[in-house]
Amino acid sequence: MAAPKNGGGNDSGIPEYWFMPPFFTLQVIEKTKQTQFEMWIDLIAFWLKQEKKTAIYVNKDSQNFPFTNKQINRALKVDDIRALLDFMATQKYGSWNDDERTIFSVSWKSMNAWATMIYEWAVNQGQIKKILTLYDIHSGDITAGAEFHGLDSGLILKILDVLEDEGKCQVFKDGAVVDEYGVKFYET
Amino acid sequence: LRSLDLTTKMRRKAGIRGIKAQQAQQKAVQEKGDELQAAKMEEMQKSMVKFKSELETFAGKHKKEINKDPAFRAQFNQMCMKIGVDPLASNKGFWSDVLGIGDFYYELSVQIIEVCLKTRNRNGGLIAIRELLRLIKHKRKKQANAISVDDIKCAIAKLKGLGNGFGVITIGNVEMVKSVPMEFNRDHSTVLSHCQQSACATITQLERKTKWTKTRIEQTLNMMLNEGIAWIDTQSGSETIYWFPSLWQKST
Repeated sequence: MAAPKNGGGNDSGIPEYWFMPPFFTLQVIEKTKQTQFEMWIDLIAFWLKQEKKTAIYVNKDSQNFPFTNKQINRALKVDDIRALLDFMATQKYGSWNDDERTIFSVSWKSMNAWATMIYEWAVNQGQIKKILTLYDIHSGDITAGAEFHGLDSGLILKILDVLEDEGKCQVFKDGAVVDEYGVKFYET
Repeated sequence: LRSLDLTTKMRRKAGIRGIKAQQAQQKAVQEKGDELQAAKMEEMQKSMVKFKSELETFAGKHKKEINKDPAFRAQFNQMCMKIGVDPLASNKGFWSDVLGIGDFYYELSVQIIEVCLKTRNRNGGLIAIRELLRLIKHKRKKQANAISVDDIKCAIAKLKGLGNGFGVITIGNVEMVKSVPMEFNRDHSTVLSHCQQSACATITQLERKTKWTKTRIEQTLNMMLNEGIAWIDTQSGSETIYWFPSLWQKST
């Protein structure tokens, strides 16, 4: 995604603080750094959702929006990007694919937020105790319009793992085809 | 000697009588004065009551304008202040019921608190009043009633009474709202006032502008960093730049 030509007006969705130079320097005061990380997460979530990205490639992505802002000549250093993504991992937005920390599988909502959303959908749509397939959840007509519609099956599986830990669903991993896994939601 | 005593005694008696007379006179004058004062007060109160009822009639007639037009509202508020009437004093009664003015400011206060809370972490609890106004207007966009800086100040004057750190401070030419009970001393204000335009400064720039020692500047900046009203920027190429989010605005 190229940085918007209009410089990110109110309608572009890009928060104004992306144009504030110190945003790209990792802050040393702990409380300020926390705030800075939260601001980065909001921005990254916006970017991931817009671009429908499910992974961040640290070396490649560091050179573009949002990690680099050519207009103000600032960029988040690669080490700092890693620190940020480490933090996002602790907040359950994603995880590293490799030990070298070059690829970060990620989503614009935390696993817990997705889990809550899917479970609420199940409750509201009367899907408790019914059997669905994984495919139904990410691509079925019954979920058309839901924010999680269209997410990839690997991610859906991870989300359902969270619900399973909470006793809110069960995933029947029979067969080789992930999309055909059965899913049953329970009332708690 | 006895005759001297008598003279002295008589003088004393005359003196005492004189004093007593004086006192009696003073008392009479005072009582008359009080009477006059009381009469004046009564008159004033009568005209105040009359004025107040005229003000209420006026307010009722111009309710719409008062609610919609910030400039008109500011003038109305000034008028009220002059006669010691506080339209925001209570949520009950004429002012709130007929004018809805209590509600207007109550709602605005809530919005001010919401915006300040939301931005507190990033600006350290200090925000330029114009930026606050802009963010509140954005929040209110569906609402018909326009608001002004004066309205915000009015609402904050009320919030101040709650003793939670809210207040308006002036840094140079910039009016700012602080929403936390921070340790804001003169050195802080001075540094901020030197950064009004650019929202930032380096230690060297501040040395030049304030003529303080480097130690004093560093101490002040460190305090401001700790309070969250300053952020560092190490990508300028040379010196570290200290930024103040509360003064910063995206340049168009």
